[in-house]
Amino acid sequence: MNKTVTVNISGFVFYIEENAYAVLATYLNRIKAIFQSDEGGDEILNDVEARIAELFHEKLADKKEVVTIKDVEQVIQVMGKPEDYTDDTSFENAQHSSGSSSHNYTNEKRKIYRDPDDKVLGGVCSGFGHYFDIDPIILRIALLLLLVFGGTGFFLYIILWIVIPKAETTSEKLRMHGEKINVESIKKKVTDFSNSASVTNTNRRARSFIDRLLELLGTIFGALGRIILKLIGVFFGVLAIGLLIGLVAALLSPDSELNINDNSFSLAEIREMIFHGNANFFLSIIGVTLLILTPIIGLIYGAIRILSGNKYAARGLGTSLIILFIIGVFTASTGIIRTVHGYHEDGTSEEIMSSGSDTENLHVMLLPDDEFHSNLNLDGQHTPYWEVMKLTENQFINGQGVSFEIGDSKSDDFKIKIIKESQGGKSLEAINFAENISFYSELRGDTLRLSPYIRIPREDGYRSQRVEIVVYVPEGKRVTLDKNTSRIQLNNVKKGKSYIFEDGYKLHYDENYVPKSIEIESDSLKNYKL
Amino acid sequence: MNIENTKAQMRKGILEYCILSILGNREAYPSDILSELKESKLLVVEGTLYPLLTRLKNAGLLTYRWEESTSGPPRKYYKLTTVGESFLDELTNSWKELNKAVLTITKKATK
Repeated sequence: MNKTVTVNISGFVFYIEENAYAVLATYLNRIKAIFQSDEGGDEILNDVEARIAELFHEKLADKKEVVTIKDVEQVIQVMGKPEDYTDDTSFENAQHSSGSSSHNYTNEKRKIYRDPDDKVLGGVCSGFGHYFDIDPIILRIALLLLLVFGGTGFFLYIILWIVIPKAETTSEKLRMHGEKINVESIKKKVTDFSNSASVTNTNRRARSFIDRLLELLGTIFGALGRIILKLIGVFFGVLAIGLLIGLVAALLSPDSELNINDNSFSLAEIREMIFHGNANFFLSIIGVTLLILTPIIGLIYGAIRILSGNKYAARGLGTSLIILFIIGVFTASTGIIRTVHGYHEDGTSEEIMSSGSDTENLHVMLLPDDEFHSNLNLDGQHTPYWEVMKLTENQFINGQGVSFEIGDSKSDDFKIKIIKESQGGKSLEAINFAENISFYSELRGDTLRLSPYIRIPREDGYRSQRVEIVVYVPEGKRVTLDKNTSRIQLNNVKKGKSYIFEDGYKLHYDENYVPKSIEIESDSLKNYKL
Repeated sequence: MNIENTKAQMRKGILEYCILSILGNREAYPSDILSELKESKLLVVEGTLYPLLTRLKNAGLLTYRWEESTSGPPRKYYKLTTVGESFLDELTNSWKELNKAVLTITKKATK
């Protein structure tokens, strides 16, 4: 079933299918466009229409009532394509265009016009864009910069707006694009031709100046809104670019905690040690990636859309971005919650050693470090983590896992408590992880020797395993910390500044973290609360 | 150089002469003229004819009268004016000369 329309061709009425009508109308419009400048153009068109009416009549003779698209196509075949009509129109001009293709009237040089079909304000930028073959967005941004820095852009634009005429007719638009004015090119543009063809050149020129002024005033207010919109677009773009640069910088910078290019751990190792399973890891990574990328893409898209005047509107992109973002929230939180859950129980394993009661001064020192550089600080504040952590085939060695504290002993011998601690998904698991920590310590005579790092079975993964050494000092006795202990974390012995306990005893490390051995008298800790 | 283009240029020059010749014998309406031209492959599509006829008419070489048709709109029957007749005579003369010249030259060339 097809819808039909009624047409009057040369005084005869035909029922013609709607799609056939469209084809016929375009065809006649093209021919009209070709001859509109010729004297007798109307007459030619009438003759052509009369002939078409005649041909339709012949076709409808056999009891058919409606002109179909097939009929129209056949008629066009008989009559010839619009460009065939010009075979002899050009023979008047044949002398001066004989060298070139017979279809060309003229070989136009590009002219500058304002483009009404692609404008933000008056189409000046797009006009210049066509003239110099540059994307108008670049010119708009340049103009905007000119506007922001110096403000000359505004007057420049207004002047250009007034001076440059608007491309109104098809031939002007073609000339603006530097296209040849011939049947093929007019054909492409002919749909807008009919509205503009009636306005003659002289008419338009006379009117145009006042018109342009009015048009300018009228658009200037609407334009302000658009300018603000564009500024938002620029802001979006800058923000998105800034975020991207920030992101890249964060990933590549040597100071970054995320640094994965240097000596740090590979993603696979991090996945193994921290996430305890691929599922958690991929959920987290995908989720976080979506959370970071969707807003950036959204901003870029918004910027492009605003700056191009909705030219690059991708249907459904906004919605998909929002959906992706929500998916990101869910996956990221699932992954992270499941990962964090593996840490939420706490387990400890303790071991107590005691010195003989004749020890007056306990000397504490670290064992030689054969895993990390001995001059590295292991206190977790001044060194990136990957320099104090190491993954071997079956062990994870953590230089940051040891901390040291001083307490108050109630008996007359030194008590040394070694507390191994770990997190885990369940209490028993956490205790098991804690027991799996291997930490070397020895108390020989009055010297306590400690390993500067802990070793963890690789299959346990990183569960925040740590070892805390608490030395309980009896009343009247002293602890001497060797200077190499400054490498590990000393919890109630602050470094880099003087420290005054309640009874006035002074503890001091110098600022370069290379203290001489420090003596702490037990008296000083009498009132010290842990 | 495009051969089709050259052919078209050649055809174009004699088309006008041929149309006038057809009308020199009798009155005709465009479709009649067309069928003759198509037969001799001077024209392929009808559209080309209408602008040409209008131009010749505007130049005063042709005139037309309307005639009712049983199968469609009234038809324009064209015939030569007196100016057209003398124009045709002159064209015939120059065509003969031209034809002779072309024949002589091409014969010489093919010998």
